[in-house]
Amino acid sequence: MSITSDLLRGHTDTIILTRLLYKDSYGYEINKSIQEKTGNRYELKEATLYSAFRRLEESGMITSYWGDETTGARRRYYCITALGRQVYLKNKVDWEETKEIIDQLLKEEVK
Amino acid sequence: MNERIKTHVEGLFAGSPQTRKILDLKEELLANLNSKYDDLLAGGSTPDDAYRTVIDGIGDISELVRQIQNESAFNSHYPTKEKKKSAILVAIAVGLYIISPMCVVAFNDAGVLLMFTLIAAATGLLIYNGMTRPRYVKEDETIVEEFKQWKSETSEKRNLRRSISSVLWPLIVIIYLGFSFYFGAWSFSWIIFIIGVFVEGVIKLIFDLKE
Repeated sequence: MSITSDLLRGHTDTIILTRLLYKDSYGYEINKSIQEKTGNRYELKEATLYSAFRRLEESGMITSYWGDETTGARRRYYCITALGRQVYLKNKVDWEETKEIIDQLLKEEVK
Repeated sequence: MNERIKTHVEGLFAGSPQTRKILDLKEELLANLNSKYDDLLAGGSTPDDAYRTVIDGIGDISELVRQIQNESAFNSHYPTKEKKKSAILVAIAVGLYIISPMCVVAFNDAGVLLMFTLIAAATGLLIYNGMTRPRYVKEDETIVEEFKQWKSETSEKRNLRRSISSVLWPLIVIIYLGFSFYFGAWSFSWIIFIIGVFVEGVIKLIFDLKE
């Protein structure tokens, strides 16, 4: 699992951007959906998640605002920007290409 | 709000300054951890298991906290550069004032023209400096610093007025001396000081009306 984590870590930002494509969301919800999507095989550490939020917000890919929950603590919501969408698309294309290259390179050849 | 989680998170932030950004992060973290805790309980975990899972999921947050702190430390370097610029501007302006009367000695008639040009340039520099003088920049995101910045911004107009009058009087003295020497008009040139008082009054009036 540790090697898988290393590979995944490089895609944290893109994974978060993907979760924000269709609706604004907050930290726990994003992490929960990642967990659900991967059948409990992957989950981000809180520290990783907030570092990524900060990085994404600083580079203008997401913005944030405080929700107005009537009960309980305030939640911080994140919202993807137009730039964020562009970066998502680009990273996705890059990943498809990388995946293809690695698939080719790791293929067992009978020769 | 689970008290054990709260205590744990307070512990994580114990050594950090209470800046706005740090407090925000703490609040965000607490809200999310509590949602997770509640979900785990609803899913059938015992409180102890849920607590342990939540705490294990936090990871090492110290690096993030350090980054936020460094960011505020970086901001406070900013004014020194501005101060340097301001000092250079004032030095040049003072130098021009000092050199300007020499023109009269060196070039006679044309020198007067040159002298006034130099004085005008120096005055321009001082006014420019007064207007672009560094504002108070918050050292961090605490409320105290925010107040200081607000206070500094409201007194900026006053600063501009003060810098205009600090330029006005040396200028008047120079015009007085230049004019009197050149035309030998000592008998009535003193009237410029009365004009000066009048001009300063008008400037004050303009500023007061604006506020």
